[in-house]
Amino acid sequence: MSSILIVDDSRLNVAYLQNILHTAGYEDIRLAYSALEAFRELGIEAEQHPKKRCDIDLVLLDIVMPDMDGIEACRTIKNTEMYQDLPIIFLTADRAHFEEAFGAGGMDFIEKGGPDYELLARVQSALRLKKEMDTRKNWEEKVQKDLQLAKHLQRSVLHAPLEEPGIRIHSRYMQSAEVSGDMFYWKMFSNRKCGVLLIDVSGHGISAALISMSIRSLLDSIVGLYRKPAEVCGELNRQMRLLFGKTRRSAYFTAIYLLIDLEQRELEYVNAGHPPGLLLKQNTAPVKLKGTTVPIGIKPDMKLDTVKLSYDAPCRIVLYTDGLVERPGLSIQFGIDRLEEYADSLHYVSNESFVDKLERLNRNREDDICIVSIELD
Amino acid sequence: MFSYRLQEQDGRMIVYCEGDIDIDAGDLIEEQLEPALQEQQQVVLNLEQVHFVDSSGIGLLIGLVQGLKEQERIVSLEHVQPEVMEVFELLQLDEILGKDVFS
Repeated sequence: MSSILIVDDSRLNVAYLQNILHTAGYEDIRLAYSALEAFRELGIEAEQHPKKRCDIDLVLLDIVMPDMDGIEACRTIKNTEMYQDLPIIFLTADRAHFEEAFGAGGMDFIEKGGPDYELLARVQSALRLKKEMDTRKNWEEKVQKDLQLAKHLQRSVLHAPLEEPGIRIHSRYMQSAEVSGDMFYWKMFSNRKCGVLLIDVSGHGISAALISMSIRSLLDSIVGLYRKPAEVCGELNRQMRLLFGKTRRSAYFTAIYLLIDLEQRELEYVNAGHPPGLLLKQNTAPVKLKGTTVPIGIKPDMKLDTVKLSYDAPCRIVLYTDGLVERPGLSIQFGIDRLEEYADSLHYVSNESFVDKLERLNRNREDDICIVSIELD
Repeated sequence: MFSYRLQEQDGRMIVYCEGDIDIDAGDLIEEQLEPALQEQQQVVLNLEQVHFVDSSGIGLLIGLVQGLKEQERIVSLEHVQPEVMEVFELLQLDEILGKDVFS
């Protein structure tokens, strides 16, 4: 049931309006004979925000009143954040007030002395609009809460930094739309080998996150069982096509997977359509871990050639998703070159502050961003 | 904002694309462009006026081109801007769609 607040210094007028509304079936009608009484009803105290939102759905507000007039009162109510959407209809006998009244945030007006049906029609349409707005707002709040919960859930499956003899891994994970299509994973094997994977599901938001989370749930067994880049990527491709191969829009992800042998100081990788990883060593030109095959989930039979290389410790390998290097209007190659140059100037910092510094490189949150840095010594 | 214009030329249907190919282009490409090309034997996507394609847009292009190729149609991409070509190369789009599409 809707609540209506009538504000008018004329008791006669208030009684008249109350009677019409009551007869039309509105039961919850509250009365105020000045702006200050209206504020008290709404919980607006001098210079203070109300603690709790009052349940009034519509205010009928007289313009000409002693002390504070209706226009000033309307401004005060509209300046109170929780009442920004509260519809206010002015009561007036003089059209000269209209411009100022609408400027103050009034939604509509009712001419005093006009017919009852006009008053009731305007009240009804204001209340209907308010109800629709409330429904939408409640829904938005519910979705927001849901997304926040999903965001925490997604973050909870990410690995904490890894610090073992000869290897340290740190990461940064930034979700553009609360949830992200990026995902990383690593696993130390008992023979001093380490597998590191970074994926970026196409698109972003909820649908990309659903894919990244479902893939995440397979990684313990896929990486644990297959270990080697070609086998891991081949199995991911098979699973991806099994799970999402029938969707109308092509669902795919780019990925880079490295298997690092800490004893032999060798690494092998497959890069499936992902921006090049960077192998950085002081006084040596950076090495790009370039694309070797198409993204995962697109083709039933993908080429799975592995690139092998050896490294000299100490060195650092940085993997990232395209959100870090992509900017509207600029070429992605430019972003990659800039990242390479910047990353290559940061040999002196710890691995953790290294990822912090890279994170600041692109504040563009249109896309998800993920950075993984592996320090080897 | 993505839009396109169709023009027939020497028995080939040229699709002059304009604007960003991203998630917002999805409905237009899937619900209007795809059906409009059903009867064409040879389709050319002219990307001269396209300066940005994101990962969702790549997905749309793959869907469109593969759909046509599965029906034995001849498809090619022309006048791809350098900054867009970089993204295509990163994702190895020629490997996905076939090198003939880029000739």
